[in-house]
Amino acid sequence: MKIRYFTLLAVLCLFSASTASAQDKLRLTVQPQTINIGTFYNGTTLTATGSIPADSEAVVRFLGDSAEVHMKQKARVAGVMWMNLGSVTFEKAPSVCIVSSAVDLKNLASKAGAADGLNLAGMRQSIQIKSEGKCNFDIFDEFLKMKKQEGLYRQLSGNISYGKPANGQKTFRALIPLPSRLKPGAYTVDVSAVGSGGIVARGEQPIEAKLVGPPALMATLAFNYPILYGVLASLIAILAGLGIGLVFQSKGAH
Amino acid sequence: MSLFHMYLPIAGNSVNILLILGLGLAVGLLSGLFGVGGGFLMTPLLIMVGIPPTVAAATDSNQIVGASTSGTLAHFRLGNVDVKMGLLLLLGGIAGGTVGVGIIKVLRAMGNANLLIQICYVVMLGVIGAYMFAESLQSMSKAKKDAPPPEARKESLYARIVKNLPWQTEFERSGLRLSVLMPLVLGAFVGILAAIMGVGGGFIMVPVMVYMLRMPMHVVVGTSLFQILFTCADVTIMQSWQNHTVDFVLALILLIGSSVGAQVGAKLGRKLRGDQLKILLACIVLLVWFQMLYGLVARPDILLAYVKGH
Repeated sequence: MKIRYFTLLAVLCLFSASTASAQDKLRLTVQPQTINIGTFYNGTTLTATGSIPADSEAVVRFLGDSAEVHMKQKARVAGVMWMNLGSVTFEKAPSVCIVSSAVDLKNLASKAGAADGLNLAGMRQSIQIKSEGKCNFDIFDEFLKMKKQEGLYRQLSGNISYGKPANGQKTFRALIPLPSRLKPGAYTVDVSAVGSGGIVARGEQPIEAKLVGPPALMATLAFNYPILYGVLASLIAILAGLGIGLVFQSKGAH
Repeated sequence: MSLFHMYLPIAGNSVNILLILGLGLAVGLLSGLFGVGGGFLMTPLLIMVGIPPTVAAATDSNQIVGASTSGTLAHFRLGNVDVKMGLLLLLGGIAGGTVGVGIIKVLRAMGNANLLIQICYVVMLGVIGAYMFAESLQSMSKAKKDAPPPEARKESLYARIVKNLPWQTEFERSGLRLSVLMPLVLGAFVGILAAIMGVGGGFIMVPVMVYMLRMPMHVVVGTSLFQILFTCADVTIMQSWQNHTVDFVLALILLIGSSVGAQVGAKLGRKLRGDQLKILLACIVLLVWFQMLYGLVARPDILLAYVKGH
């Protein structure tokens, strides 16, 4: 029994020592740490700066919270019509995923097999798919296509620049373009330093996106006082319609 | 940050204000011209610019409230609103809508709802569009020749049945004498179809008023808008309460465009003859029918769709 405890303790010590050393190898700062979504928000740019081992490449990811996504798969009915039929559930799929690197991720992944999971295609390993009924197409590929079309999943290369290496480290600066279709919530910026043998260091920083100003007021009214919101929306629409009608009447009179 | 872009908190997306104003203007023009709410055109257009389908459908109802108010006012001034007929159709529509929601629940439980809804759309649009097109083409060519005297025309079986129904009443504005049962039953029929198909029902209501109630085309447009105003106000309140899918900011931008469009449409409509209006509406209905049919038959770009409420 004692031997088991000692072994467990030794493994834990080794793990924490390796994590600490990996953290020392990578420093990360993200600006701004809070994304304010106001009336004129139309996407923004996050700046991630820090340092990684000199002989590695940085892969920076902006990730949204993972949640279950329910969809319907399309299939031909009676050989003629395309209809929404079987249900599909995606688990552990981030709401947003923007992957940035200095070089093409395809080349990087082939050099270091362990880094395969960092790109969009690599999410096939982490996203769980539950499908009802038989399916004649690759569900993950279609999911990726849909998310890319929405601008929520992107893979960018060339948006990270490096400083001159010193003391075995090099600085990096990544400019991450965020989509206009961003919902308030918790996000993470995650940086991996990829060497020839795979990921050599990792770090992450939480980011918050929140509604401010009129959008915040509108959301509070819509979600906390829905009946009042609906009645007000109808009344204001009627008044606006009447107002425009009267403007036209007065113009017609002259 | 851009001055021409605005973030919509319910839709969760940023949109170009000028683009939304333009969409509103175009659909409002059709609304004022033909008396249709325009939901069957606006909702797909909003989805195309990145608004989630449930938010697009609910917000469209909100903007139709404003557009139809503006259109009703314009038509009211021109003496084109039959308030009595509109209220009876509305009563029937509310009862029919409730029955329709019950039917859709049963269909959903059976698992065939989506297929039936889409087939229903294609059949209805095809039949209405083709009939309107053929009929208006016929009446346009007849108008050129000398029309036969009214007494020479044989009264149809439908006309005789309608004449013999109980509770006959005068509809002065439409120049008709009809049983109150007619607008009530036909309103209920449109309400059932509108609830099943998830639309305001303007494009079904207009042909029903023209061909079943035999109302003059100009009164049809004003009365249809009057009736749609109440239906869509009810839908706006229900959607805000039950699903939180009404984006009022988006609705207001659309409304500014569509109210102006509706006024222009109403004035333009006075310059066109009834059969010209009918043939134009028939062309639009047939265009939407073709687009829906193509959507059913052609392979979609993406073989997945979000699960959304009806």
